[in-house]
Amino acid sequence: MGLLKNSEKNTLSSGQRNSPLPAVCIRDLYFSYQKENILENVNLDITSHEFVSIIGPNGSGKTTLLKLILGLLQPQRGTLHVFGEKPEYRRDKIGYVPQYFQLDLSFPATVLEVVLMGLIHKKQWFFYSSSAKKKALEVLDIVGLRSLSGEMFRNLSGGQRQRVLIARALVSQPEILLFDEPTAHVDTVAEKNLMDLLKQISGMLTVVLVSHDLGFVSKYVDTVVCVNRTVQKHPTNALTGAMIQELYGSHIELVHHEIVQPQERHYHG
Amino acid sequence: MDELWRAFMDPYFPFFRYAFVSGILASVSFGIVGSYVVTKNMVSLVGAISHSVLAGVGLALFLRHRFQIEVITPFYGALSAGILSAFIISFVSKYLTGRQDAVISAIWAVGMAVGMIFLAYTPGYIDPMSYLFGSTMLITKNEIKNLILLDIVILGIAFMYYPQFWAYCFDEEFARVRNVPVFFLNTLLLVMSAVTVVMMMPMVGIILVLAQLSIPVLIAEQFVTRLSLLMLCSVMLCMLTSSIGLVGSYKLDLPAGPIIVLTSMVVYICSSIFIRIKKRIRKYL
Repeated sequence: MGLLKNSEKNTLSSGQRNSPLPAVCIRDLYFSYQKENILENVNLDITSHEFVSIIGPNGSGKTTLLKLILGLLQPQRGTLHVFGEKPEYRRDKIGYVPQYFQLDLSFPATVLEVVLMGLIHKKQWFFYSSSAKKKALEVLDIVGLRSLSGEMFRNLSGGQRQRVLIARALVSQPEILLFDEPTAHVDTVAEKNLMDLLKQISGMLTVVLVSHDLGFVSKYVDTVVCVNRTVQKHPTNALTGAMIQELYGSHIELVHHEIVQPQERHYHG
Repeated sequence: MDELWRAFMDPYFPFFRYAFVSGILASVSFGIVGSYVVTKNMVSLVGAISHSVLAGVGLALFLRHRFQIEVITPFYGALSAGILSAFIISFVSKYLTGRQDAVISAIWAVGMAVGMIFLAYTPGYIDPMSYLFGSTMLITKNEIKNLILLDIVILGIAFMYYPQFWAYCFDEEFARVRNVPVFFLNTLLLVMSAVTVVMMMPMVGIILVLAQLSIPVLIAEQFVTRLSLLMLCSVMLCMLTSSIGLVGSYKLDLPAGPIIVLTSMVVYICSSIFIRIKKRIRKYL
């Protein structure tokens, strides 16, 4: 994956107004499901153009935190603002990439149609305009899948599907991109390619990703948000084994993955 | 063939003609709404609506025969009951956090129970079989006019909200993040399903209607790559199977509903076998 071309950078950044406001500002937030607190006393600031990873053990509330930032859940107490307002009023600035395997793959959808869905809004009636289609193709170019725009979504590989969903989130020119486990269920090479793409995108907008694989994402992100009911934010390079041990409650070491490129095979007939 | 044509044109025997035309007209809504319902995996919700329609049929017949209120036909009774249960099911799926399927199954059964009680209180004997499994004798000229009107309304809504329904059926969570009115669309789709079910009720009955809503879509799904094409193919397949089924029922002197459903199923099985054989051949070539 090469660097983004200038025209592609324009496609991504033309929607940005470089807001002086913090991308996400959370104060004294509490959230519970049926009387059990999932998140307690959460205070968090994510500044504009930061590349952040949210990590934590299973059931720690990291996906809940993501859904609160998306405005899909409402906190019981406290405030959560995205660019100075409640997330529901700032959805034009939010891009979201869910896990691809949550989607129904038997749905008859082409790659272009999936990307066009990123441009949908309350009053999108009848059909998408040709300028919307042009925009969708431009974004498919960025993720390297323009040639597959007419292909069915279900026929793609896991890594390609994830790229299509990234294109769907990017097409509306958001200022903050939220990812739910972007590298889950993709192979190691596709995982590295995806992270390289995210690293390039992160220069132009705020990127927040929920991940279980701290060893892998720590090579890329600036800041790590550790979630286990409460939230602590650390610069990636200041993260120590003791902090992770405290978060997960057991002895866990930070291990960096080595990506082994598949070797060329020679067949002898 | 000649005999069939004579039956179709006979001015003193309009039932066959009405059944044929109503099958064609109802297929338009069936293919469109069926495509949305099947791709959204909500066939069981529509099952609950279609069965609870019997409550409306029972109430309408009871009011007609007991109090001579002629304005309330079983068609309008079914339509009101269908729309009411669509609203109830939409609210249940939004606000009830657990055991939704059990509650929806209860609505399914309670609707039928209420219908049967009203039929039992209705003076004279009314055979519920014709409503449960369909009877082409129930179709009148007035109902054909209603079908045309409802087809126009459903076509208009389905195309106006096409991108929004597409997004809602493919990825509801993302649609919510993009401010698509998901609850409104869910309710609208259930109401459209209720209307469609009532349209096809005289042909295949409220029990068999579920098969005719989903089987043409299942057949079409094997051949198409887009939702819009899925709708078009489902409409055509629904027209084809209901026409073949109707002719079959006339020739064999059997009830139309079951023959239509079995015709659809035969087409589905044949198309599935065809697809498998095609894949195998492609593999070896």
